[in-house]
Amino acid sequence: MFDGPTWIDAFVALVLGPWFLATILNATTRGRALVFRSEVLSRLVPQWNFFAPTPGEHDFQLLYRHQIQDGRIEPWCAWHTTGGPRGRCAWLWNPGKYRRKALFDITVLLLREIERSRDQLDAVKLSIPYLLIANHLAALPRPRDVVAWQFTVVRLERGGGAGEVLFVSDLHAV
Amino acid sequence: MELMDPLDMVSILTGAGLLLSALETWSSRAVFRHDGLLSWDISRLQNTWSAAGPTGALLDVVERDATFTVLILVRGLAALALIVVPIDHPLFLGASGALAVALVLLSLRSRYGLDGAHQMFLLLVVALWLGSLAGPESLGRRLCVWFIAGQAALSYLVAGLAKLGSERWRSGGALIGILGTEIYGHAGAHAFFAERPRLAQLACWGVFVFEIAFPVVFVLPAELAVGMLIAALAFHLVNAVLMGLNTFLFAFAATYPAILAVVL
Repeated sequence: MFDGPTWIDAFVALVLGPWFLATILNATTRGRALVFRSEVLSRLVPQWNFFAPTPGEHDFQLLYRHQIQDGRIEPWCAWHTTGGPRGRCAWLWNPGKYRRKALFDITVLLLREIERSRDQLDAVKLSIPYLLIANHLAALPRPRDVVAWQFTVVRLERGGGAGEVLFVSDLHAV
Repeated sequence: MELMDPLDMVSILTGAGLLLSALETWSSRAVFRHDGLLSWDISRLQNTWSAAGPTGALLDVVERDATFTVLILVRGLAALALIVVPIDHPLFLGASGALAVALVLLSLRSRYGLDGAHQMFLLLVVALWLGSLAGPESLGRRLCVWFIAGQAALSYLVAGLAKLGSERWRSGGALIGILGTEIYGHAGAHAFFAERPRLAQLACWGVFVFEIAFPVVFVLPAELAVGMLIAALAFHLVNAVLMGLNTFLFAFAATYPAILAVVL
């Protein structure tokens, strides 16, 4: 039987009510700017505009190459891609989606950072997406004679055609 | 026969989805390691609150490799508890609370790599925890049911309106474009729609008209409301098969018992 509101009911309303209102705010352009003023809020308030208004319609690939002691630069090596076969059971078991989605988000935000900084590479090099890729690449095992490494971001064409190079990093000393 | 609490049904589906998600995260935990693509050592530099001060120090303890691995296990066990323990059992409060904390920590860890299913799971476990705290037949528990149902309706409505506002979606090009990728696409479905652009446009309109109309589920007669939920479930099943969005299926299906409880 319902015995009237208690302090726990009030607590529930106090948590869920503002959360719901913030979700509505987050669905509008001006409201989103408000929610995004707080990084914590922006991580906890859902944004429901899946794949819209501008859906991702390309895959990306990261490649890297080494400079060796004698100054030669080796050919590019394919590294991570947002693509690759998902497997027949991906409708139920799809662990690869974390790496793919992480790479997709990192790449998109790196490209946004490059656009925003208008080719001032120093600012890009301090951005989180750049640092995430660099940190990951720096941890790769490499031959002893390697003195520097660099990476590139390629937008893949559908059907396996040649991709478009979107960004090439500096050479970073090992 | 005593009717099951709608939040018990929400809990079973949420638990199943989160158990799957925990197992998948475990399987790809290298991504989250200090040298992985989502390294905490780098991600924490995004904000002052995560990089320094007391909050930074606290987060650094719980987000480091070893603790993060333990948190995945906690998520798996707590998700299992959500499946087998009824909402009014004392264990439920602890399990849903642990899950809520673990998912909040995952959200705070990095802004990259998470999806809409994660967002819905976070809402669900917090609502389940609060519903368990409020107790049976309380106003608080009813608020939790309304919150879940309302968020589900809002999610479809916002997704539909965002698509309607996009020329790419209205023309049908978005569907062909997305299906042409490997990350969320499907070669067979892409070839099918690429050859039939009018059908792709019709499918896009079908999706966002359905999404925008979804909130009418609350005023429809029960039989039609059930039909609408079956259609929504089929939509997520198709997305799971064609796009690999497997956890969305559980996250959104978990909201349907709450919608039904409001409708019936």
